[in-house]
Amino acid sequence: MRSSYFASQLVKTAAIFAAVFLSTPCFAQAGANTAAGQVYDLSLVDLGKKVYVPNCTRCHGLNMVASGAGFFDLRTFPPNEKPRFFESITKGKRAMPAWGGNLKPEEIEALWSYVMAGQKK
Amino acid sequence: MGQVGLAIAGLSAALVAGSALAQTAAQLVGDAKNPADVLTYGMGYNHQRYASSKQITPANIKNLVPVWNLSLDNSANASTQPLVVDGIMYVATHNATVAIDAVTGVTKWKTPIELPADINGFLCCGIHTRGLAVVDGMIFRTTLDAHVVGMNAADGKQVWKTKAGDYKFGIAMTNAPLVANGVVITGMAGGEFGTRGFLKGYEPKTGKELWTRFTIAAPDEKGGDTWKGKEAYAKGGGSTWITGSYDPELDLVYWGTGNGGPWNAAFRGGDSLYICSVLAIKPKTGEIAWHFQFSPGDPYDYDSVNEMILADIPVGGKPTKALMNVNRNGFMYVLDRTNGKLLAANQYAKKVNWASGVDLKTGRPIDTDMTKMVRATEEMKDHVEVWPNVFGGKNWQPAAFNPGTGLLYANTLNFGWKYKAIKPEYKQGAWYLGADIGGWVEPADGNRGYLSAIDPVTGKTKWEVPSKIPYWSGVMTTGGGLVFNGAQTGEFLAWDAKTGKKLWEFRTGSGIAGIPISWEKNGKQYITVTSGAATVYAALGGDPKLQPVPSGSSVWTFALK
Repeated sequence: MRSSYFASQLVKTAAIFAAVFLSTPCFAQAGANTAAGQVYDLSLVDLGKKVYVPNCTRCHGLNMVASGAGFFDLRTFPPNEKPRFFESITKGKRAMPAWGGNLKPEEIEALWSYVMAGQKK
Repeated sequence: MGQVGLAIAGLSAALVAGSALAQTAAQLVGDAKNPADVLTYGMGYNHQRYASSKQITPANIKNLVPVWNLSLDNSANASTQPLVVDGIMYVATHNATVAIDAVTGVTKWKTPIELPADINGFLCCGIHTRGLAVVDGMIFRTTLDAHVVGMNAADGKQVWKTKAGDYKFGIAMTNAPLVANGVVITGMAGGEFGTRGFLKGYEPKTGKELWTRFTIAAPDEKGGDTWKGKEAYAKGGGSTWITGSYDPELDLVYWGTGNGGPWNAAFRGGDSLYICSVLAIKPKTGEIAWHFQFSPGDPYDYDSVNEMILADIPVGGKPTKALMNVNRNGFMYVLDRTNGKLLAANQYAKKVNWASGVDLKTGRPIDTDMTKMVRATEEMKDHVEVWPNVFGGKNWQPAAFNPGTGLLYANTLNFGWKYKAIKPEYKQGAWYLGADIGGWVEPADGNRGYLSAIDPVTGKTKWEVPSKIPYWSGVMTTGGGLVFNGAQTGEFLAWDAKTGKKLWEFRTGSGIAGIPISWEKNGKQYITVTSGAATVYAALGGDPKLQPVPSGSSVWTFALK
């Protein structure tokens, strides 16, 4: 089980990790290896959490720890498939509803950053 | 034919229709004692979920085998209770209603429910429909987009569909309706979305709305002064997402209400009537005869929608018309259902730290220092550790009462959570909590759940069976001395009602979040349960042990070979 410590530290820790990597040529190389424009924006992670908690938690879990049947594990979302991320959220997929009418594109952009930052944990 | 003749003909027709309705209404009243049919959510108006059938027993249950399985063709949460009317089984899913030959498993008809593409985004806690109601050749159900539907039982054709609320504001409907005294009554879900809870009554034949009873008092109503300011009530919660029970002699419906909106107690102020309460409602009018509030001003999402089980039992040596509630707040309540007087309230949950007990004179919980602080603080600096957690000491999964043993059988929970009140921010269609869930706190022994046999008056556990992954199914008990429940990992299970000894299990293909029933056809006892879990626990519970369990809904029926 993730502890409450993890819960409160998720964004902060992810940010530290990302900051460390961003400052190294290694991360820059990794970013360059993904498709153009798909490196997430560190400054959007906090906003992404604000979008995630009231809209996404109820299916994808606290801090993206969705443990059971029927719910996609966002921690496994491929970092090089950003268009698929936007498509699934906007138009819906299987049990995932269409969020296009509810979330603005900039909110989905922030969600992308939150999800990608969380994966670095 | 003159006017007098027409009047007589009209009167005769009315009498015929009236007698037909009366006959079916009488069957509904007798449902709990009829081992053949299952006509009500709760296996009887009293919600005891007790089948008097004695054919399947601890001695012969080893011979219980599946006789058919039917796919429900979806991957949502099959958290539903089938009905059985004279050998025809009716099952509700979120996207269809199905009629099945109960003995053979062959589909007789299936009527789809058309839903908006964005509907799942407005549901707080899973995609499911819990069940149906019947009367006089018609079936009634609710839809996720907040409509109530009446259809012909014979062919599934829709007779009427009435809008009860706007799903775009988070009003959803997942509960089975209740038919009481000729009125179709339904509740709603949406306590996490800044809705104002309600019950509604409809005319069975036409779907005409007869009354609306809001569960949150407006400023100019009795109880309106238990809310801070003049506007909080409008988003005040008090949803009604589990079907009520009914006492036909007293003509009272007992329906529980949910958490306040937002969860943040200091923001709402006061007791916030009628959140976390039971309302005794007159079914013809929706009028409140009495109410009892289990968790006044609740900060912790301790909905009080859990089933209100009715039984005539001795309390303090006196025969009593009791209402029993295994409340999410960790206490087991017994009320006098004639007047709402509190008779007993004892801790059944293993660990409770938000209150040290319940004052029997006032009915109010005795707050611990932590809760006093939480109630007074609109924005907390740090999380506090609260037991039981947001799911409660027991969640929606209905308990069963066996008059033979005098015990309640309930799937109970035992883990804590980290709670912090934060500033509430309302946005249409998003969670409106004013609280942050900081994570879960594990019990020392790792057992997050139990099947518990509870003495309702003392709250003491007679026997219990621990489980690392909590049971999320309904419970059913029988005159044969059995208790049935199901595991989120797929096992359908039978236990000895007296001892808790495991007697039988059968592994289904998905998790079980359904509600077992017992029924008979041609004198033979059958057991039915739905498999197919995509529960709120799986989504939110952070339990990695559930990872390998696939979704996929179906109906299983068992009989002795």
